[in-house]
Amino acid sequence: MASVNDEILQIFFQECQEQLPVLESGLSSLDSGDYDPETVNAVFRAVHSIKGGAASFGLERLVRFAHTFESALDCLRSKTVEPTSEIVRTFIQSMDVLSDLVSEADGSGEHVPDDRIANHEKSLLSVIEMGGGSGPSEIGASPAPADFTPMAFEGFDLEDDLELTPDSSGLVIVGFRPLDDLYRRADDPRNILSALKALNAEDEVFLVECDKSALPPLADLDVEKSYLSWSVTLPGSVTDEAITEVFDWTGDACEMTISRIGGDGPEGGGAPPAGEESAATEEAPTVQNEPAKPAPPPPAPASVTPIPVREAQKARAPRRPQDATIRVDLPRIDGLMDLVGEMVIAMSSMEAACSMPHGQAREDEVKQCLGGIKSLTRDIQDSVMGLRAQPVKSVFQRMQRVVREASQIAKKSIILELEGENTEVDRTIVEQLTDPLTHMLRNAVDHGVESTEKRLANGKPKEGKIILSAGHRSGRIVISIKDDGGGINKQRVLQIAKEKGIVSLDAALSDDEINELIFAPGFSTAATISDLSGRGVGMDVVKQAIQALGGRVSIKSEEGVGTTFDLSLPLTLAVMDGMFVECRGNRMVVPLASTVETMKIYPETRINRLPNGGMAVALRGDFLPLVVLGDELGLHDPAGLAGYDLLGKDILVVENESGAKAAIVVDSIHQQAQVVIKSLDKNYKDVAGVSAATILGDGSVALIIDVPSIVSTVTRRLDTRSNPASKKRAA
Amino acid sequence: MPDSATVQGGVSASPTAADAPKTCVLTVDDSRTMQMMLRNTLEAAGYEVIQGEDGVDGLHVLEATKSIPSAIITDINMPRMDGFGFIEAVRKDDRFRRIPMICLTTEVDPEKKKRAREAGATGWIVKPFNPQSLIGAIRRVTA
Repeated sequence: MASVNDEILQIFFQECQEQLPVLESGLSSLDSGDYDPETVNAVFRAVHSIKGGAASFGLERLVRFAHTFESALDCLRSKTVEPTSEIVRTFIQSMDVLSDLVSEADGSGEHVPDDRIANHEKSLLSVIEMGGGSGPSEIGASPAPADFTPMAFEGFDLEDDLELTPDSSGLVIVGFRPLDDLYRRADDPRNILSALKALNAEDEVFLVECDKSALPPLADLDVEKSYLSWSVTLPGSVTDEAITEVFDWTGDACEMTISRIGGDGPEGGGAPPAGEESAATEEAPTVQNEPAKPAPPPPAPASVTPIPVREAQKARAPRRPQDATIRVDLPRIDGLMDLVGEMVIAMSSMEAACSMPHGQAREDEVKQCLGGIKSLTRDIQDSVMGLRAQPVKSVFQRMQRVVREASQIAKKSIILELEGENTEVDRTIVEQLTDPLTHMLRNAVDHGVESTEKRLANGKPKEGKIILSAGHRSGRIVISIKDDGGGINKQRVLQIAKEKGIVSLDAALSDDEINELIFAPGFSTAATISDLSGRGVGMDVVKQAIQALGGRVSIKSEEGVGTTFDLSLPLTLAVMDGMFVECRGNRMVVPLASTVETMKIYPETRINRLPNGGMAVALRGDFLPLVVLGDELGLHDPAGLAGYDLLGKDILVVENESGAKAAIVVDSIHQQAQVVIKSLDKNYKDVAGVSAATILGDGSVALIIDVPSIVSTVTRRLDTRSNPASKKRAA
Repeated sequence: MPDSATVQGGVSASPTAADAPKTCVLTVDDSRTMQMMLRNTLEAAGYEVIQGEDGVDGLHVLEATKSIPSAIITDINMPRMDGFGFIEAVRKDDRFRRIPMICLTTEVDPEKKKRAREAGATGWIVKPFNPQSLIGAIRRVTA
């Protein structure tokens, strides 16, 4: 049973992850002055939903805060307070607290300090007071909602709620006459009768009499109207409160009286209702309460009970495995289904073609079918990728908070604009983007945008702006972070790099190379380590994270105008386009994304041997470091190293993510094709120079070349610096 | 039915939940967590459960279902059409207006309860719910 509960708890947390962005975007639009009532409602519902779920799992801290938050938002909804920017800011900060409380509850975040919660609760309370309220109702008002009773059902009384006085002498007579309204609510006197019956826990006295005197002849009977009234005799031990509770929900749709006979039980008041007088008379018809099925005993503890959350947390790993389920729009599944249907048809045409008599006609037919299947396979693949695709919105919206908090700490006023947040990318990538983006945005706030004074002095608007955008570009997704700050101070970057020994003191670097330096391990330009980005993690970590996703980072910076970081990422990690090459009897794959061009080595091709053993090839006036792939990977060459004849071999010009190029010599280049990436690491072990493997049509394995690692080895061999510099020197 | 009779004392426990055909309950809530809990609770007690994610969807489900539900549990705060609107809409439809409808909500505001009564709600349960009590309530209204 615990697993069922745990499953629901997971759904709850998933739902929180869906509601928080709704809250975020709603509050953002409020912040930008859009006071659409629907936005306010959506914001309210998001918090309400989180509260409702949290209460079911006994997540008290979360419930309490959400409740206060909700009450404050309700003031906005009921228009008792105006959404001034100050109030919206209070809400935005509270949202951050709420989000942290969710993380605390799901075990992915740290414990939220009590004083932080209290502070924000106080601001929310002041909003409520502004709205004329004196505080949130019920839940929030009690400091510790430990007595937050799970459920009170109104309309029917519960046996547990019974309060029996020890004195059981005497009788109490409850008279009631339902009004038409009771029936309109699809209620039934039977429900009241069975609830009253439940009060008689000891099976002592339970007498029901029905008064049919008001019943008209059948012809005149209006089924919508109420004609009957009842009187129920219960033991005197049943309190008035318990009886009133039965009528709590239906009280306005019934005339009800309580009277007591004998005993020293509490005196009930009120005369019998009109039309009830005759009920007591002996000949008054009474009705057996059989139509009202007796209330069943409570079922054995059902499968869902509020979960003792501590235990649930203990059982979970510190960080819950990222949601193993995805939600997919139905049309996408339908689209896939259509394609599969077409595939079935294509297969039967293929079978038909294969059974044709041998000859050219069959040959042609098979080829045609194969072509069809090929394109369908590609479509199906795209379509399945589409199922895994997710808009980057979820990550982008989280960045609002990052920038908000960072600019608060840095005491700068910065707005973050999002563009293209509906761009879709594989969910694995979406999930792994959070950390690098967080870091880059903090960096943009801290180092990118200048201080307010400096901005004003330079004639810029006081408010800094960072634009986070996403878009598709030639089969990849490009995410850019653009700030309107001061740009990279190249002199300073170079000076620091020299001081830290990242480059030699006499190095002459191009602008691009200087920009690249900020990705060097151990580089930090900040004169003082600030709270924000100086946390011992540099941009090199960002770069590594992006590279691990098969991405590249590039920088454009203009002094005084701003800096743009472009992250270029593959759409998926599962499939890629590759170039098949032959290398000393092995078939290998070079990722197409890193291949710039191909060429053949002719007798007139200029290849220079360098004193350090490296080689360089001239290409349109530039020299590129040349590397023989077979040698690089340590593959045995039957002819021996010295005898390897470069003439007639093919060259692939490849490029790493920072644009450094190298020429790779292979025996021959075959076709270009899509390959499915299989991790070598998982199935065998990590191999230098190889990033992964793929399986060929004949079942054999081909290795996928790790271009960045080859380029870095080879460029380091030529020069410690990146390629363009060596190019200059070689030229 | 006997014209006149009195009943004294208890009656034996009700038939078990396994009775066929199953009694159908419609739950309307925009929270998947709540829907999942309701489904688990009700199914464990032997009910057939159909669900709608808001008032509008609830009406669609009601329109499309083959088994008319014996009871409806609805949330109050929902997008598109809230619980009040949903109850009113159901009460206006001659096919469905006899179905008991119970509000399941975190709200405790008497004003809201009043609105629900006026709309035609049969009962009001405050979230978080206790499974036994919920089932008890459903049993009573579907008895």
